[in-house]
Amino acid sequence: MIGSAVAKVGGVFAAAVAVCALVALEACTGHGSAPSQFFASDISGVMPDLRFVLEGRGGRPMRAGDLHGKIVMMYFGYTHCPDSCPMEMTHIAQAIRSLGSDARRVRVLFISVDPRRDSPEWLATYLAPMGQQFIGLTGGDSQLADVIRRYRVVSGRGPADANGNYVVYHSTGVFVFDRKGRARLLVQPSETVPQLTRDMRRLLG
Amino acid sequence: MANGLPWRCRPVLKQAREWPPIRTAYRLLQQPIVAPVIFVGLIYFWLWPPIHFRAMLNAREYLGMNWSMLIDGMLFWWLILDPRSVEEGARCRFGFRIAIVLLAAPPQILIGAYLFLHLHVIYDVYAICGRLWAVDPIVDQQIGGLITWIPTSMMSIVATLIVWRRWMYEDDRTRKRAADPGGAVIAAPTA
Repeated sequence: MIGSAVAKVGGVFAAAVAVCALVALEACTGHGSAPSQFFASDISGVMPDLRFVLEGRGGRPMRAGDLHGKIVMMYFGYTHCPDSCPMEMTHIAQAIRSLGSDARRVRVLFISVDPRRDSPEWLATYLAPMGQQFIGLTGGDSQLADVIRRYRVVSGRGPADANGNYVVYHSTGVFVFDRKGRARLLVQPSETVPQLTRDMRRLLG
Repeated sequence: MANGLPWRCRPVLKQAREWPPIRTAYRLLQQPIVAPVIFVGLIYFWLWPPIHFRAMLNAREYLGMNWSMLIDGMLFWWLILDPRSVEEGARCRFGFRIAIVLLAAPPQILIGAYLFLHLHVIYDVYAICGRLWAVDPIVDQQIGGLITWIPTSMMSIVATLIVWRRWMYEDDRTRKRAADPGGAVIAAPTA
């Protein structure tokens, strides 16, 4: 028993050293140094593949497998957001329109981190003006927690005012997955529409 | 060090010391020159923006960051705060330990001050992936900088005082022993 525990301690130590070496190697050859062909941050091999089970329109469950073959853009937000969500959705909608017929091969997942106020129906109404590519998803606390943990984002709720309104703190990046569901890009809010369009074109091949 | 850990960990750690790879790594990390270089180097390594970006997004690298800092931190502070003298088995002399702490502190203060005083967000991953509270990313970075700056300096001062006190005690004990070779001297705690 002690022997296996020793092996574990040794394993943790060796793994920590190996991780340091690998991370340094990856960092030198990936994000930050070598000029990337994308404006967005390249997260190939860093983030896990697309995987989730959430509730779509009519409360029907939706899985990552339902989007196989599509380029998927995933954003965490909420419909009562006063600034970053509508701005980012507008940016994405503009970029998608610029793609022309290739837009059919793209899906945008707007995952609400405010399930109390954002029902699947309300999400569909909110996203309808953006285009057919936009899909609103939400879920129970554990379903959302799974996805949030998997993609290492954070969200929190601010205090409610006298009318019960509150702000939700959430991530502002857009995770982009390729047609095989592999994580490829992390788009920052500072990326312009032409830059985002170019990144998407490159990814669409 | 083993005696300072929860009792369940002690036999594991004592057994681990006998395992050759652990023994070699332990000896290397306890070298008085290597220890502070790795201790400070690890902080700079994980805070280097491209590496920090990856570590915050990848669960395995995140664990690697935390475990490497925890294990190396424990080993470094054990080297410094070992209550034994060199004659009793410690790795280096009290004066040398104080020198190590005083040399290891400025690079940490420097990086903390750099983070606190920088006018732009260095770690955009926090801006992208959100925060639990309504804290602006730049304020978040400034708080991180202050935590790296001030408690680090305080820790170094506290550690210096502890080692200094221990040094004086040892010095006093040595003098008493020299003056009265037959007298009983209370032994220092062992590892």
